[in-house]
Amino acid sequence: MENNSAISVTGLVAGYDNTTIIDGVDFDAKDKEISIIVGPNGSGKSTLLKCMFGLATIHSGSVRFGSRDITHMQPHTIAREGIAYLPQVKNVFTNLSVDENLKMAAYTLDSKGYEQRNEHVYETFPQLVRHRGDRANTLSGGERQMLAMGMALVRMPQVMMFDEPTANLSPKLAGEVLDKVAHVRDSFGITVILVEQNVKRALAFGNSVTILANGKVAFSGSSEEVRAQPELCKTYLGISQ
Amino acid sequence: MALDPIISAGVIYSSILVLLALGLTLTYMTTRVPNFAHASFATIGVYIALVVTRVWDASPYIALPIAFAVSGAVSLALYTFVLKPLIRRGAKPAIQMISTLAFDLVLIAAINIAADYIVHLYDVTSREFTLRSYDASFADLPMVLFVSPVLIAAIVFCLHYVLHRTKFGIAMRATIENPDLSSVVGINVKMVYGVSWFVGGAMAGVAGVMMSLWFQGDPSLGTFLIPSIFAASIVGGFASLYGAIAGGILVGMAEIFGTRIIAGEFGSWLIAYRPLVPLVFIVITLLIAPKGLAGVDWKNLARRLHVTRS
Ligand SMILES: Nc1ncnc2c1ncn2[C@@H]1O[C@H](COP(=O)(O)OP(=O)(O)OP(=O)(O)O)[C@@H](O)[C@H]1O
Ligand SMILES: [Mg+2]
Repeated sequence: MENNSAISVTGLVAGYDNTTIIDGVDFDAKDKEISIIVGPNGSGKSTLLKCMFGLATIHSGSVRFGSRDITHMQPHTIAREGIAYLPQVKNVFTNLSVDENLKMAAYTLDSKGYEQRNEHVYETFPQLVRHRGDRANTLSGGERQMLAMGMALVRMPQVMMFDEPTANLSPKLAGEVLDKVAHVRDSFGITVILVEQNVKRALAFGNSVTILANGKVAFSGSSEEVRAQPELCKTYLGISQ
Repeated sequence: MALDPIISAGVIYSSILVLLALGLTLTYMTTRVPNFAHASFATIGVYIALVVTRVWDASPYIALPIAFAVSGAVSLALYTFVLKPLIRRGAKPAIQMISTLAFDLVLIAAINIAADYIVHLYDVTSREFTLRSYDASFADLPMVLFVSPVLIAAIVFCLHYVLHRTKFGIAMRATIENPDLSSVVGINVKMVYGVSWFVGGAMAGVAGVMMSLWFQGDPSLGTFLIPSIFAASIVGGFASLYGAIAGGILVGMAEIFGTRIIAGEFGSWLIAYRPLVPLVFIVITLLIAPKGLAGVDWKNLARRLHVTRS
């Protein structure tokens, strides 16, 4: 089925200040699908996500969200447009309580919608309930990751970008989180962009895969295509089937 | 009621320092620029008090809301028209700091012009003037002795309430900790910075009105206070509003009482060296506890003291 693009990146050259990390990348996230980005450490996966959120320096190229050009928009306006982003690091406010973190995550929502979704987050991650009033820097690594995930879920935007949401989680919980990602797509029709180390698992439900290497796209295609090419899996993803 | 004037001096001076250190710390925590023009925002308050009392013939306390608004607006202007464009162009913190010094020079010049203009227009002394006689009195003591600590307590309470109980206040704390993540959740970080510059400047304006009821007013008044304000903020750690409060009280009391005690021991010639007190505080803090009072692990310290005692 051919879908429209929710996010499309064309000819992107970007980095931090004067450096160039992303070097001519084209990337498409189809509407209501899960697009996976994989690649070795330092290949520029996180930087690519930051570009889509106005947090990196874009030298040339463009980022479009639906029909809108968001290349040079400020992050807080992009957030209001309906994109949520779970950063890889520093993804919770450590000096704020768990409740305050969720409140901030829903900064742009009205209070009624927030109350409901807030409860929904606590239902999804019951481990967080007893820490409601605690400062986030007292949480364990895994609990912090759940909170960060919850902060993205509370928004229920049109597009969600997750940067390694399963880092620090036990294999069991990592599975649950990825199931949650699939659930978000299936039940709410949300477009998902997922950077994930756990490639094998991600391939199982991802729709399309982009492999980044050295700031360039080394491969891009559907999950089936990737699985059909053991060479690709070996070289870039470190998995053998 | 007989009260050693040094006690009034200690209370009033400390309150003023607390208020000034709070504002300086607030703007530093958000934008990370040490603002050398901060004390001149207080001088603006002093001159507003002069106009309100001498020209309008009204109570100096009428000057409080006016100084709040005017100094706040000048502070916001410094952020909006000087710092924000510099930050957008990628200016380093040192350059931003120097730009606040430059802004201060312009501001002091403007205050001097205003002072001359006031003389010219209303025939009112506008240099080395004192407004103490305009203050009301309570139990034979100047009103400002009571107003200043009460006002500081009220402002601290409001700040605490806003920062912990309101959505915007929590967003301010979020922005101080992590501006990138704040913008990701939709907080307009630059707006938060602007608000904190307004509030910081407004508090300095309020401090200025109280200064006018105690100190001799002059365009250079703020310049003499800058070392003490920075000392109070640095002692407080420059990263915590509660640290700024403690730092303001400590430096203020030390300047007033410390100088008196030392002068009593070694001779009154030492009083002239009072300006050294804040500098000594800055040096000692940076040498032994660079994170200030806020950075000291009090629990650990108490435990260690306990262990050495037993
Ligand atoms: N804030 C920054 N300022 C300057 N350079 C940065 C910054 N963040 C990352 N880089 C550089 O950009 C390059 C790509 O980093 P990036 O975080 O995008 O990689 P990644 O693919 O996400 O890696 P990982 O799998 O380890 O998360 C690295 O060489 C890194 O040093
Ligand atoms: Mg990364």
